[in-house]
Amino acid sequence: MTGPSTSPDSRLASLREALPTLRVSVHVADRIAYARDLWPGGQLEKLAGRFAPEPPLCVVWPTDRSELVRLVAWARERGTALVPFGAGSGVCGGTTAGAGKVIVDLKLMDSVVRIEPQNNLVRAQAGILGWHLEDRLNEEGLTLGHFPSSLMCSTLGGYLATRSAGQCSSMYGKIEDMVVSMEVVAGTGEVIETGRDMGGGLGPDWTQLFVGSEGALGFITEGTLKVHPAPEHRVMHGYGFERVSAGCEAIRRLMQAGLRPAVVRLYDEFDSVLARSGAEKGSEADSLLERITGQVKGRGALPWLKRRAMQVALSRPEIANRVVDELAPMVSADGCLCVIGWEGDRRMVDAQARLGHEELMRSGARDLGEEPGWHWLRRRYAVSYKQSKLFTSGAFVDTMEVASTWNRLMDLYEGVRKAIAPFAFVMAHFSHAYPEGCSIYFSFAGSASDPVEARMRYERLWSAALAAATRAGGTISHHHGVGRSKAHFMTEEHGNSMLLLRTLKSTFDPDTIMNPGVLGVGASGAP
Amino acid sequence: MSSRDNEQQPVSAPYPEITAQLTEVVGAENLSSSPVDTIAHAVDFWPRKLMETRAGRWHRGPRWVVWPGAAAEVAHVLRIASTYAIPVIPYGGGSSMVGGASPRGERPWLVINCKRMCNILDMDEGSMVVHVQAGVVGVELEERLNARGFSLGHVPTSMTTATLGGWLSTRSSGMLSSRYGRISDLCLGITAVLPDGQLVHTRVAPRRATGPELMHLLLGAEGTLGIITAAHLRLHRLPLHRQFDSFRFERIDEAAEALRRSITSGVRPLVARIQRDPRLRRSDRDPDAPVPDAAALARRVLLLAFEGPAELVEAERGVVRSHVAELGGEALGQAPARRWWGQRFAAGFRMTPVLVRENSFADYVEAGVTWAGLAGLYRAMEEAFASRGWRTRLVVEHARMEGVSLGCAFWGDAASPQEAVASYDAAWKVAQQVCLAHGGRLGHVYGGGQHRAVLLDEWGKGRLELLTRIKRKLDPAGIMNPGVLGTEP
Repeated sequence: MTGPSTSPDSRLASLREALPTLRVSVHVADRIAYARDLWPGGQLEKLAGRFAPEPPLCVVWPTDRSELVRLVAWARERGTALVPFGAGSGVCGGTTAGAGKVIVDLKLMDSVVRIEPQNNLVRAQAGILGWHLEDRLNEEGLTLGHFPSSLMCSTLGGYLATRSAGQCSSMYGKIEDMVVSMEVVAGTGEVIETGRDMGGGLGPDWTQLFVGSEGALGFITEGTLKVHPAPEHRVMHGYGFERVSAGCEAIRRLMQAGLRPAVVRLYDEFDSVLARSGAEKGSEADSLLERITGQVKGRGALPWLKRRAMQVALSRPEIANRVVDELAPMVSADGCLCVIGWEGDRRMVDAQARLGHEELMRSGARDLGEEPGWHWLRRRYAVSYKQSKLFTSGAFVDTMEVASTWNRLMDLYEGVRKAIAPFAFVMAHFSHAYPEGCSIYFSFAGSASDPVEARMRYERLWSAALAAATRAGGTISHHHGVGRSKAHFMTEEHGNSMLLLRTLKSTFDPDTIMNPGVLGVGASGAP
Repeated sequence: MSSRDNEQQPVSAPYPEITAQLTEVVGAENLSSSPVDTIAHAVDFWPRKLMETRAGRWHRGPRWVVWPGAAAEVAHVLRIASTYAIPVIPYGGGSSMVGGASPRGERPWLVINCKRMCNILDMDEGSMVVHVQAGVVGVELEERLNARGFSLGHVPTSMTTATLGGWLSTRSSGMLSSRYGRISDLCLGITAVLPDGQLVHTRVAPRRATGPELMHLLLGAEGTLGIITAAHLRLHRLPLHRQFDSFRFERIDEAAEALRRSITSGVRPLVARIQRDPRLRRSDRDPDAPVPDAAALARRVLLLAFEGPAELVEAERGVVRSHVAELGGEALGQAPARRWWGQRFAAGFRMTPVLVRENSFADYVEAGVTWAGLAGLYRAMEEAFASRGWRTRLVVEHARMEGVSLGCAFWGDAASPQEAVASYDAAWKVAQQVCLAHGGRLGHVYGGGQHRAVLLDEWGKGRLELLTRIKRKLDPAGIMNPGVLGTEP
């Protein structure tokens, strides 16, 4: 082993020698563009002047598994860390580079290997974008059923690496429920097929041990996933609940009645206002901030929350949150909005939609008709990517997705809200429901007088929120992953079963070259 | 020090000292070296061993059997076993069909019988989650859940013997798996004791994205990495509306296609089985009955049960019926499927009556297969066994989106005990070859144990080697069920 002390130039030379056909870029534009993912904490760092504080050694684009195998062999020999990279849309710092690391962009490995309609399976390479895969399946009359709002800027490998969830997870499951087997190029350089097309076989389920590994054990290069017929029929419907707790109770009963809705979304009082907002504005909102101000202005309920006053309001979030709590019933006369959707075979959809409707009405729902449901469906990908205005105005936004069994869910909701409230304006929706529990998706916006203070406030917020989630018996992430931003909370999350994760890490990445630092393992890592 | 080194010097092990230490942990009443107990724990349900026993070959039992009452006691016991490099078998109901729970070789084995740890620790009715100790026998757990209006939905034929820990350790599949999945799909978290005595709890959440789902290191590991002592499990609510349907097809192909299309449409039957036409039973038993013609022998019936809200059950039945009609199936009404349901524990293949006959042999081959490969595998398996004069009964079950599992009970008679074992081994060899040629994956449902024929199929893929590597780290003394799943003996 030559050791990490060798100069970048000599390491690049040895890389080019070891893999002469590998596409490599050392251009500063690429190294800065690939230095960070979409973790909001990283955006705050940029504003504080740390542009790309630790730019990677280079960015490489392997084209097949044998190139990856050779790359791993080179990295082990040179003690160089590799960071698997899909579309860079992670929000937890999972692909954040560091000085001397090599970013490995897998997007050139983007083929659909085969579709087996008779077996309801698709095999695809990890670098394919989510919507390209879905398009390709749609051509065959099939669907994967995986619709994260990042569909257009995320890859299959990213989904598998983070245990991603889509908007129809209540019916099709999360990606870990869809995947049957994966090909992994481990940090040892070996190529592992984790499962078989009949899911499992003998011994531990290796697929479940590699899905969600966030690049810490190796590169996920291919996946075999279950597919379904593209739905022939869809029913969408909106319901109202007076309180969020009543809505949760209704969803619990719905999920435990043996029904499988495709879409289940319940918004808390303030998020409900935003969820309905597009109907009036008719276009994608520029940012969360504008959605908040625009909507509130439109309704005239909270006149102090005007654009200019926004910064002030966000800097005193504990007051803003309290005012919203007080005014919630007035802000949204319809209470909490709940969107339920059904899809699939016509007969089964109709039967389930009727049964589901009865169940929800029995639970005290108000029937809001079809329109809120279709409205949500039309705007399902209308996520704002234009956060810069907000960030440059000194504010920050982020999201946090937690989950628990039903018995702890309200404690989790209140606990995390209270923890965030002193630092940011917070709202939430419940969007992935299961018979045994549900996830909560918090959105929050805060502000500070300068970027450095914003960064501090942001970090204190996250520490408080993660601690509150753990205290309430919830998991700290339902589908965004851990990355580096939550890595320091992995012990609280897993307790001493972390030793099982460390065992996996030392077995499959003995030299700690694979994405060191994510998931709280291999933190020191090779530079 | 490797486990082989230990094996060469067992005489030096201070047995009285070990016995004293174990007694201190579990109490004298929960430790036994009496032949009554060691003989009872000498063999599991592996037919090959039962055949050897029948031929007069006595199997060596463990040196100690202990019945710990709590995870903390299991931890103490494992620490003692680690110290003295004593091989350990985690023992539940002893109903492994592949030698996963029986001692092997000449070493002094310690059996940890988990059945005293059989309590429900907590019941969260609102979330429909139960926290239960792993030593509980399946049927006892189900009855206790039923009394509170719930069901686990896991019903393998081993229901009355196997324990929850055994199911979890083999990732068992039950007869309701088409709807509720295998036991690992029902498990939300576990408590386990690792070989060095450390207790690990995997935290419970409906889903999470905080790294690999770590409980999966122990689920399916067949006791080679530690002992599962408790688990959180998803439940289903009783009472449930239940309906049945039965259809007859001219060939396996159409029966399989009707089931495939139904599953693809999103139907989740409680039970889905394809088996022989039950009318042939008479010709099996009555030598005077007319010999069925080839067409009758080729016919297959699809038996279905449905569960859930009545309106949804009717919608599912409607979807199935339309697929069946397109494929020329004949509706037989509810009765044949209901009859099967009524006898679901008795009507399964009963091996014991066969195996008590001198020089007989019998076992159950079980393979996972995709829909595309099913009919080919089915016919090849049937023909390969028939051409050698072995009797078989094939059943298709455990339907999933991507395929099913094919079960093949086989039995026959040989001229001598040696020939019976030879035929038994030959039958497995044939099953292995047929699966290799037709895309079947052996050992889909009940684990691998020490069964070489089952293990060899997977061996080539190298995944069992991954287990061995993990085992060397978690179990450096090599005490946990060594030799099972291809780990070092």
